[in-house]
Amino acid sequence: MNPHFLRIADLTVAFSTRDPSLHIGPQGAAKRFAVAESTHPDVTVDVSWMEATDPIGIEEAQLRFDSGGIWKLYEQQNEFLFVFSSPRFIGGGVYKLALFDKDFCRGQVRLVKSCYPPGESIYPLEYPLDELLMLNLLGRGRGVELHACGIVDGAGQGFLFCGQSGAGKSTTAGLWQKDVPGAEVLSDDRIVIRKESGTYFMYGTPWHGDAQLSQAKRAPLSRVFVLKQGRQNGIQTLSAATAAAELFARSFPAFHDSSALDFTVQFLSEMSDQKPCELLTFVRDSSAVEFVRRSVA
Amino acid sequence: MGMKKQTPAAKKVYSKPELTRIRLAPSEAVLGNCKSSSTVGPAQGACDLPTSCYTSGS
Repeated sequence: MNPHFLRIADLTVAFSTRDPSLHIGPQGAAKRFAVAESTHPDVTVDVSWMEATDPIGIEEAQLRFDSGGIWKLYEQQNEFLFVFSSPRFIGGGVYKLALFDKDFCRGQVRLVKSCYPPGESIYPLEYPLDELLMLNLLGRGRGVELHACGIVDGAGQGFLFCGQSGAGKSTTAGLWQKDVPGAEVLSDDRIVIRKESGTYFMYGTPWHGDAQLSQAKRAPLSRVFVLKQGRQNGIQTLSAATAAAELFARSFPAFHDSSALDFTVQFLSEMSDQKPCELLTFVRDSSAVEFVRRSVA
Repeated sequence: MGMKKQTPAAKKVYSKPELTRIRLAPSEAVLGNCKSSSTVGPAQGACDLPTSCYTSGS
């Protein structure tokens, strides 16, 4: 039962199984976030098989959130149960359960055996579970995840470009990679922000965008932009209140948890006070990169 | 002890309150559907969910 360790935004998740017939490990971009070991993981997850006919255990539980997609969240006796289902299976069947304690420090993932290809390695925290776990950890006073592209320039300055789908995050990532020697993309779709000793850091995550760029690195946050495509390049500083609202609209809070929502709003408000946020109207070509770099110089 | 006279320069300029609407994207924010097509499992990008699949992308 050798555990696997993932370290995302300085939070470590250990997952393991006692079942020799179950082959597990990180897959896809999550592999880039695998670490050899950790003596004190933030989360420990035990993985096991279950049969499709096994009871799910939601009879007494309260539905806390329905994503409208492949997962629902239930709460029972201070435990949280994620139920994952897909219409690929008979009756829109359940393919995975994930049960966590109230602090999301310990969990169990149960995989419905008939839903997985026999003999193949499985990533039990497969999206969206890995991201949901991270959002719940961050919402407990640790940080915020934003729909954003994070780029570190050759001088180590962190640029955050926030935007919803289609805003131009992957385009921006590609342009900076092409035009700026030494530029590194931490992710072209999801960035975690945390504050440490008064400094805001942006962290790469495995949840990449079209350009499939992600790295297990962090950088001090230098500039914050909200992306807006336009016919010419321009920058407008947003008021702290507007910035906080714009960032919240591009964040991924734990919607079922009022304390986490409060924390997210507070975190983004403070960040907007301390790190001016700018609306970047940009043309989708290299001139946008040059424009931003000149505005920094 | 008289009250301090406020100089005209220290007066705050009145700005009319404005209502700003911020667009939310709830379907993106709740991670409801698939994103990654690079893993093995039921939620992989090839699944045929009733809603449009959220494959890797921004």
